[in-house]
Amino acid sequence: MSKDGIKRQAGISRDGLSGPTWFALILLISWLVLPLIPLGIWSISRSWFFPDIAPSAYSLRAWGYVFSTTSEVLPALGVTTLIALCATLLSAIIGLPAGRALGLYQFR
Amino acid sequence: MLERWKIPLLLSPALLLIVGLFLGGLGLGLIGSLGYMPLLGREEINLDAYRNILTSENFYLSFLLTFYISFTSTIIASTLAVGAALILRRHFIGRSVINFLFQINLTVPHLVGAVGILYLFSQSGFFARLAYEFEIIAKPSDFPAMIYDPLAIGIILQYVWKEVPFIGMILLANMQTFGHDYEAAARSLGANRWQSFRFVLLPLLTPGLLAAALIVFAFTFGAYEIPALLGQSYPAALPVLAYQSFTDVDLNARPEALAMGMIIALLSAVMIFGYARLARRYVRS
Repeated sequence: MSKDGIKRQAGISRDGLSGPTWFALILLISWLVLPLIPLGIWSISRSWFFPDIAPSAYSLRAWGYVFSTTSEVLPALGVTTLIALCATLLSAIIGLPAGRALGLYQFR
Repeated sequence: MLERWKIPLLLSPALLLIVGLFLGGLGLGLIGSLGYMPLLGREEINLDAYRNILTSENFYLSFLLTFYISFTSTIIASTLAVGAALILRRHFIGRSVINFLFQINLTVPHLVGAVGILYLFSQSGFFARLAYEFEIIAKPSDFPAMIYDPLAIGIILQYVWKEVPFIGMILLANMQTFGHDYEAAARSLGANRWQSFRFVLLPLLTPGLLAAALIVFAFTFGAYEIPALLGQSYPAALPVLAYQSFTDVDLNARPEALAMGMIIALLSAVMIFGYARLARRYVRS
């Protein structure tokens, strides 16, 4: 009885999770990570047809293509980064004063 | 005197941007939707596009589908996010790793997530292969259709996948500012765990939760790429329908596309307004 009481206390307190809670958490995290896994495997597979759980042949061809000069992925990455930097900077420049005005001053 | 000019000055860049880009675009769309396109030699103004849309069955089917997708995704994602936030705010071994994994898909674009969902749930996807391995199905078409299906399961799965961490992070940040004091007080006054959640923590979280849910709803209602990739072609989601008309080879379909854009904007505004009123009443009482 008293031992059971202690165990239940441990389940309720903020330190540590109970078994079912761990299960729910692991389930949720797996669901959040799961869709990213086939993407990674597909990127290194050469052939992967229907009933196979794992690819029947692997190859790094896709990755080689990404880093080759013909694909132009790397320059595209540079352009994307530039756009993202400019957009962030401009948003901050325009948004910061507006945020100050809305947050620090009372007006009608 | 200085103070009087300070606020308009601070606000003007943001206002200029909003008025210029957002309202300007909206205004041009409105003019186009009325059939006024001088470049095509159409200078008369009429409501034909709106009449055509509002009398076609397609439009209503698409609206219902879009509303159903947004509503279901928002409800499921909000519920899961509340549960996740309740667990993640506690102290346990491996919390930092779990927290990292929880947030990992915030940086993944929607389209990439959609492809992942496609590989998992399509009829030749990972789960179909597992079902075949365990001899539950004999061929791909035996696997229930979850992509390009009438119930839009794939789309909803993708949105839930993407939005649970988003809402969850907002709730966690909220919870951190409240601390545990209110709940501790409730518990010491005899509330059980459920009561201290239902009558203390949940009311505190409600404003943040409603705001996050609103963002998710508005986004999913107007988003094009996920229904275009994972959805069936008839009835298509409203943004997909609008895009189809916009890129139609028949340029006469363009006013209809713009009119549909106007209607989507109006419907979103009406729903957000109604939701805000409801939420305010709920939060106050």
